[in-house]
Amino acid sequence: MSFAPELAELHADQWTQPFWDAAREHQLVIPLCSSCNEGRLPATQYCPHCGAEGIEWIPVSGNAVVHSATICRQAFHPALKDHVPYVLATVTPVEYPAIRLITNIITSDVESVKIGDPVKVVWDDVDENTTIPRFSPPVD
Amino acid sequence: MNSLQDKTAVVGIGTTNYFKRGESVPATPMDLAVSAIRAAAADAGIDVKEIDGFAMYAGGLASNTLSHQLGLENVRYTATLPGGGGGSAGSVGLAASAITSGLASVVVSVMVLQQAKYRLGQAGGKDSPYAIQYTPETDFALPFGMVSPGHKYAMAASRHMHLYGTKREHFAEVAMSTRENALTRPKALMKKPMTLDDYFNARMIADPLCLFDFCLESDGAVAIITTSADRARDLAQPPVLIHSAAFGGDGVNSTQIPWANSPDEYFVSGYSERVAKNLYASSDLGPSDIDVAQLYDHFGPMVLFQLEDYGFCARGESGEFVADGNIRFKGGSLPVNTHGGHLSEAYVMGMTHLVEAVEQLRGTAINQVPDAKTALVSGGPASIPMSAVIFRKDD
Repeated sequence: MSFAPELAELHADQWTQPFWDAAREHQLVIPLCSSCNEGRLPATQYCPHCGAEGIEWIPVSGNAVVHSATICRQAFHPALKDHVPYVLATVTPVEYPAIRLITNIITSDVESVKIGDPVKVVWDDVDENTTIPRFSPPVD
Repeated sequence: MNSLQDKTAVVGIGTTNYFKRGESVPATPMDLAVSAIRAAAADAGIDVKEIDGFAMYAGGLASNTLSHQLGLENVRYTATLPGGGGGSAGSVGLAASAITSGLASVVVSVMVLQQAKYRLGQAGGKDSPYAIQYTPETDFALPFGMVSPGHKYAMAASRHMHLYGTKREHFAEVAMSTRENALTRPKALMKKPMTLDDYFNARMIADPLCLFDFCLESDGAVAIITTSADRARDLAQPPVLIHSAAFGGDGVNSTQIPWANSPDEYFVSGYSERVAKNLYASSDLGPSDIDVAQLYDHFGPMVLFQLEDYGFCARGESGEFVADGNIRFKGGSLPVNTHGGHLSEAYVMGMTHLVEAVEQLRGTAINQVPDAKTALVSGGPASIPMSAVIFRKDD
């Protein structure tokens, strides 16, 4: 079962669309400024750091580390009613420790998630057009 | 240094009663706002028709309807800060800038909340002025159930605990000290003392935040009238000078995904360090000169992080700072939220904090800090604009 599919309706523009196209292929990609190499999240036309245009989408392994996390126990939106408790987190791809994604840690033991835990991307194919990257503790 | 220092003053404060969410019906939001403004004018000892300007925030109220219902003859200034509760203190700074520039002479700042048809914390409410706005950026947060302001602050609190050893006991100290301050306040919604056991027995909402880390959901209106310091000295109340004001923030970290990607010291802050620097830079005062602080407490832990932002303690040390009793009304070195704050008095998006600071410097506060001469008030840790003001007692 997808996690809260009603919230997964995407509203991409031309700058963010490559992230979602890659996700559809189960490939996690990170947008870097093609001029100064700073992460550009969310992807926008101009780099907020150096002002240049141009984005490079860098494929990464999907291995990441939990940076922060919260166990959400109350459904603040009707779409979340059947999904509490769930873990909302920021994670850093191992290849780019300065970059963070907001995501979920999908696990049957929400209490066990700790900052610093290794996690691995898991792909939530919501429908034929939409795939959302979530993360999960690695399987031994 | 900017040029508004001590040139304007708050001369009138007015509030309605405060209600649990939805219980102010059948009054309309406009009824509540007009009542608060009329009360503020009466407090100042001026005819309400002398108001010639509006300085608002969080999108503001309809200035046309307000002007009509107040019977204003000459409206010269209508300005509103964007964003949400971040601009509350800034609205008074906006009023000061209008008056020092000569564009207006008597300016009112006003906020009303009536959460009958929506709840601010519930992202799904279609009638809410803060209903979800879908953008390409929200695609990187909403699909993960990041739908309530509390989710962001929970992750900040979790990371602060990890980096600095901050404990839930420290969050509890904010909740308990604020509750104690509310107990003496006739208008406060929460009148039951809170023990550490009460805090730890409360249900968790978004770990590490529990029910008592979240602000109240309430209805009510508050208005504040500002005019020139010279005029203020002829009015009914002791003038409370606007010594310094700032609104803005760090541009590069200012929305949700950039926040998630910000340096750790920003991620765990109250996002207000930039505002604090600008506030003090245009002031003769520093953190050690502040007698009482009213810090925006939509979420209790954000009081800790603002104590760090505004220089009352070093980054990472706010837990120890509150554990030592420093923010207590009774015996604290820096009494905080002496009115009971958003956590225990009422939530009117920052305005009650301004009212309390004014009463402290008039010497009429219910929980009066002895001989208070300076007060700092912050707007909500959020995204740009955030804001703060320093009030000073007139010599």
